[in-house]
Amino acid sequence: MKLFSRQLIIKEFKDLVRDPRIWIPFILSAVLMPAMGLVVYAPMISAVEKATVEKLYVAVINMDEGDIAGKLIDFQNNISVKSKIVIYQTNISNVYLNDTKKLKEITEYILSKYPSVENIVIFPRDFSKKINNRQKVRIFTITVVREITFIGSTVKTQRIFDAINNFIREYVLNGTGIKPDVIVKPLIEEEANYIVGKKTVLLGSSMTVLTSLSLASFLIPIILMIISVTIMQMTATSMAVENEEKTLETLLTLPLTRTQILLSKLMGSFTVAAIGSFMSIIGFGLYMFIIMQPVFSPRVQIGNQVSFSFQTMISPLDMIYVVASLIATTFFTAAIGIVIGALSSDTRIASTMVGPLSMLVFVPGMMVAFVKLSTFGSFLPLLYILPLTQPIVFIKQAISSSLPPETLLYILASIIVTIIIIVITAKIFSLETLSNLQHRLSRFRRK
Amino acid sequence: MKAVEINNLTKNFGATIALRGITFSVDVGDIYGLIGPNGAGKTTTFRIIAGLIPPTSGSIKVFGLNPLIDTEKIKNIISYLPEDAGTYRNITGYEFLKLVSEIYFSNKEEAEEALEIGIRIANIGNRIYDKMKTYSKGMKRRIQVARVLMVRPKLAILDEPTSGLDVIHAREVRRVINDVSREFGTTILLSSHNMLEVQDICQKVALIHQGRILVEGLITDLLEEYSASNLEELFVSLVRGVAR
Repeated sequence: MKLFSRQLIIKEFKDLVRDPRIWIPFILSAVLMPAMGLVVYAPMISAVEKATVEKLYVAVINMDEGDIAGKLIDFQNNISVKSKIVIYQTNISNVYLNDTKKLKEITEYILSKYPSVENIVIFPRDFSKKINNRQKVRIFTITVVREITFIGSTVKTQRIFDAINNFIREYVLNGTGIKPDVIVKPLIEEEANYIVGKKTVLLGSSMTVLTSLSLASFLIPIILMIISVTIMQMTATSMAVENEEKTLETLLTLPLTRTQILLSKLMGSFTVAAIGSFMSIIGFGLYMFIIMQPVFSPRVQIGNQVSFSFQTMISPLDMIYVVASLIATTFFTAAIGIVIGALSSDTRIASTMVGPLSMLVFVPGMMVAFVKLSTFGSFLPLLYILPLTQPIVFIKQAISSSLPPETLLYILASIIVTIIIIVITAKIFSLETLSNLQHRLSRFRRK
Repeated sequence: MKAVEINNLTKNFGATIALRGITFSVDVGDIYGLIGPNGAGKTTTFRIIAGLIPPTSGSIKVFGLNPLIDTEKIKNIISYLPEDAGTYRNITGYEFLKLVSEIYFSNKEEAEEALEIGIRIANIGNRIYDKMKTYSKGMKRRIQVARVLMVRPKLAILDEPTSGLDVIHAREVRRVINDVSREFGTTILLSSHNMLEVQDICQKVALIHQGRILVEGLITDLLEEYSASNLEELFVSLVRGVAR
């Protein structure tokens, strides 16, 4: 007996291939995926270029009792390249590296004198002595963090370490004929980060601290993606099923306006979808918790230990705003689902459209997650209002400083945007529109 | 005032012409039948009267109101039963009739009264508390008929009201339509493929074919004028005449 029927396979193939609705998600995905890549790539590459090419402003606290740190500073000052490290020498002579309160005071003092400073480098008293004894030498930096981004401050801090490492290698091997590359790493790098907006010092490598903080703004679009797919799917199907099951005509003759019908559908299906999404988020949270366990386990220590938690970074009020914004945004995605469903002749086409369109929800959020907010200039208020960017902007802002007083207005504006979309859809949503769309689709299918 | 006044109504869907200038009127309290084969233009006419789609040209008045302009007012006096009206799978018949009554009547007592009428018209016993996905085609249709008539509209538009019903239930629905029309003075505009059914409950009819009304008037007058023994015979002879 045959395992399958060749005729049935051919029938299945023809049936699917001849349905243009099947091709829509593939075509949209083929176009959207590279677009998403570009959206993420462009700001990332620009941030990397800026961080590596631009001048870097560094304040130096030189406590070295020898002369090597001084030579290093002179050497850097004499370099005349575009990407040079500009050094401001301070007159501070004593720093307690383990006292975050003192570190904060010193940072704020330096920033008041040199506002453009991006890093503070502290040369210890035994800097020259250790180098001369061919021992590893400690170096301490404070990264001044004005905005939380994946790339930027971290790359700049690394530039400083590289410059010092290279200088020490060349200094130690001078006259020996040995290439500097043979010394792997003469520095013991110790770091702190000063978060300007929060006026807080966080001990730990800038890479770990900033990546962890950036992860929050990166996670928001991912969470949004998970929620929006579920919600859009549910609302789109709920609306399209009215058309498919022939209940739409009845609905449209009830003594209700089309806006009332769409908004009621939106609220009802959103409530169910929100409950479902809440469960998804819990699942996602547990998944993240489980997979992150090996990384944050006490047995494993990557770089310097990081001394912060998100609870201490975001105020309770800001957290409420972020959650409210997330709800407003999911409400928006539910509305998009309603729009898709209202204009779909059946649930199949609605489901087909939701997949690629939910990716679109991801794009603006990702862009904002990777780019410095200051880059957007006068368009920034727009990002605060647009439902797809608002929660990401909020979380970035909440972590690096605090949300502005008009935040509640931004959330209201985001909800108004959603309602406007529903009202516009109600204007175009009618049996006539659906008949015309279906008529065109059937003509296209006949071709 | 007429319940429905239609004058030279046309409707095009792209290159397809659905209605080619139809004219007829329905008196208040009448049960009026619009009969014709599939694709004749019955459903399009009903949809235009219900304000669901706009006509391409021509005029239409429902109790003096224009469905295109007075859409919201019209919705309060019209109740429409589409030919292939579906039901919500996971809602019970009772819940469905209750929500409709509450949408039409903000007054609780009025809504409850409408619901009672609806349950009586549906007449499906305790099955009314079951989810509608478990209903037979006939039960679903009776729920829909109940939904339309229970709100005591001034005009009920019933597109094939007995579609899918067996003989016994179809007869029962016809009786209900008659009763509601008499009891509440509701004007009924209905369509049917079943000519004998139309002859049974309608006073006046319009025979529509290929978007044109062939004849219109009192059934008794039409049968006499065309020497036909029933509507079916009249319809067949008229349609064949057009075909020739």
